[in-house]
Amino acid sequence: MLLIAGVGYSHLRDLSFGTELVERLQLMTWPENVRIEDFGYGPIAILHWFEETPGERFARAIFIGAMERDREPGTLVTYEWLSHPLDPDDVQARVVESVTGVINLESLLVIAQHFDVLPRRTTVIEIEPPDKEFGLGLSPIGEERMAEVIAWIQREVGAMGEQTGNGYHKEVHAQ
Amino acid sequence: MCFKNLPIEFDENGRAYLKEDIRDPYGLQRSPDLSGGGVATLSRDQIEDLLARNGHIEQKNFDPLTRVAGALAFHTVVDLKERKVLESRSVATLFRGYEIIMMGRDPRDAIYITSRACGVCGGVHSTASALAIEMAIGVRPPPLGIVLRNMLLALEYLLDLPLHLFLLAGPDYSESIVRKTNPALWDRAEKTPAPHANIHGYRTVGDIMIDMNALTGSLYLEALHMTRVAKEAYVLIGGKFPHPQTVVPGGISATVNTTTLNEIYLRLQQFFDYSKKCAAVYDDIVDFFYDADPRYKDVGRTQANLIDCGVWDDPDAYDATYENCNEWGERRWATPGVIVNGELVTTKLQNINVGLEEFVDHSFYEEWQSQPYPKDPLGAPLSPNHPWNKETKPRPQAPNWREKYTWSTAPRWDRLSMDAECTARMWNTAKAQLIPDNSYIEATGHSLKLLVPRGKLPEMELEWHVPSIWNAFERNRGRAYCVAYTALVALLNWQKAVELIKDGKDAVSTKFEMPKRGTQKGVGFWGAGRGFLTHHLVLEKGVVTNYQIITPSTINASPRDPWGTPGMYEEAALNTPILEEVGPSGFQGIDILRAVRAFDPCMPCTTHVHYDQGVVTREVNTCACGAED
Repeated sequence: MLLIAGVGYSHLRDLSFGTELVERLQLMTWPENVRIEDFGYGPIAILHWFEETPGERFARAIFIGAMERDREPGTLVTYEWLSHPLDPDDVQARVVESVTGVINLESLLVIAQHFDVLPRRTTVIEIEPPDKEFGLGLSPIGEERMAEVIAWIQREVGAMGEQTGNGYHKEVHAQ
Repeated sequence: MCFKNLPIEFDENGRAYLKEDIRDPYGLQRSPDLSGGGVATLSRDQIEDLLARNGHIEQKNFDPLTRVAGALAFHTVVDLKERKVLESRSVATLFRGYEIIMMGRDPRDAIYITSRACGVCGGVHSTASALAIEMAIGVRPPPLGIVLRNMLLALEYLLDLPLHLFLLAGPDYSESIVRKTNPALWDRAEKTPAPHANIHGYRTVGDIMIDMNALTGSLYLEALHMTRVAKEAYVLIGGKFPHPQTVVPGGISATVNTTTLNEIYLRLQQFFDYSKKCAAVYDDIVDFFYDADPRYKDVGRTQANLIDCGVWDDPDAYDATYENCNEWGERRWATPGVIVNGELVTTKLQNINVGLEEFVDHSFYEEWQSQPYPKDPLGAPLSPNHPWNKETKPRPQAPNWREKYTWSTAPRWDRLSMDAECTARMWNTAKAQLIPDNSYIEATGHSLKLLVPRGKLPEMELEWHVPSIWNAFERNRGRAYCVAYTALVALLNWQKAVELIKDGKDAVSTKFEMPKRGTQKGVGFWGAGRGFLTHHLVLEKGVVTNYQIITPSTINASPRDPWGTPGMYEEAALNTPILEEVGPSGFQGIDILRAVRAFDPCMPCTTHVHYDQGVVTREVNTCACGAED
């Protein structure tokens, strides 16, 4: 089972890239083993969601959201989230922010790792938001990146194959 | 006669009027009588002189270097030789402007928009909005609508209280912090038997502290779990958390039946044993610190001036009118009231409203000149600084300690600095003895007796006593007992809901129409998890022409007022002795942080204690609510 989740606040232009993506993905058709989720809420609530979703230790998750890291606006990066030693003070700081309502992609990843709910393989897609003002929709650069991300996700899902029996089966075409 | 500073008196029928012989009745010339309270403050010139002449006096700024969001900075000047705080300034660093966003909108939007004022307690803002609209347009919810609203908000508090007790404030009393800041105290804790071991199961105070450790302690993790339990029950009425979708003027839009109530009860009953444990843990922690060093009684000490609107309406009394607000207010499960110097001076919602003023002398706003409403709907006088008369005119500028330094306003009642606390609910209720007859909660005049039903632990009577001193530790102890109080009110309302449904009285809302002409005013008197909350509303031709929110953090994070009296965070810090043993890792500021954090500030604001030798990271949280004006 693949989880694709958009993280962020609504109505903040490119800062809302993750939740905007989810809205668009939900209008598309996906295989049954793909679950699209809006994670536009606090990481602790998402932790609870992982804990209660019955039997779903996802094999893989893709988290998408905007992160401000002083890169060129519109920069799109993807990376694998590898479990690493966490600073307890930093985790607690993020928990405190989370329980008081802050939504943040990195906090979600750190907290989910600490409480051991991250899927075995976790991929992150980040955009450096060009437009961070209050408002609906994305900037022109944000729109371009959105199309790239959707295409990338479609490729990943296509490459994943269908889950049948006890594993993933990719169709093999004879050359 | 509840007012000492405002020129308001009452006739033989209890009607308030303005004293006639006073010129400029709301002028700022006379300094208020602080009833023996207040705290000595130094002028900025004196502070600068001390800083220049003494090496042991240093500025320490709790400065918001927040990863994601910031809301509070806290500036202090500390004398490390005398181990005391010489100056403190509370700085709300965000302007959110809900009052401006609301202008010109359909008032029903307020329920959803103002909910976003807080990431934890959206439901209380939705509800305060709904109450203000109900008063303005004259709509009374049916009994079940009122009861479900009571339950919804009790469940929100049951989420909020464990968060504060064990995730936000709790780690300040944990083994990892105490061992670092006060090693001798930790040694003592390890050897001190815990008096309430039979309830919470911990043999020593040290064992409790270990389980209060952030991320790993059982009390921490259990609180995280209990927030989930409360949320699960909350969404059965509210639809979603933290911003409910079912709060409407005239009641609730959720369909609730016996099955829903059973599902809620399954969650609610988990708080019976949990509330016994919370009270026992905090009794042992607080008493341990007092026994170890009585100077801890001065950490966060302020005059006991508390204000609260009360919460949880009696479905047979609440009619949404301002005209009857004193009557239905006094029938609430938490009695409205104002405590001055520890004593209850009023339980009337009208007096609470009439005594309110907001000042902006030290806030990033311009003064306003108009006073469209010199009187309330009952003819009582209103100050030009009353929320119904207030205009929000932001004026961003660089902070200046002599002038303006915060986005928070300075709300005052009878020109006194007030403390907004959930403990005020218990204090008012205990003193007033007006709580409706019931099987679980008894007000004695000096305490609240809470009969908590059997779970795995036996039925147990907890008794919260009105404290003789008001400080950081009693604020936390009060919150711990508030878990039981809140769970019992939820239970009483649950029983009432079952009864109403059984009797076929299952209507949850009343139809209404928005007025399209004329001017209407309303005020939502309610409370957030941490205390006092009002939404003041003015409608003209069906749209909002004024909307003012006063939150608990606006009150507590207030700056100095026109007479130089500090707000509650500021006063609490000024009274706090530095008891920390400054070790090789440097000054942590734990006593000041305990003083401020005990107010249950809400929205995240990672603040760093700066001082000359470097930067020490600890956190203070404040509610963004405090910066919303």
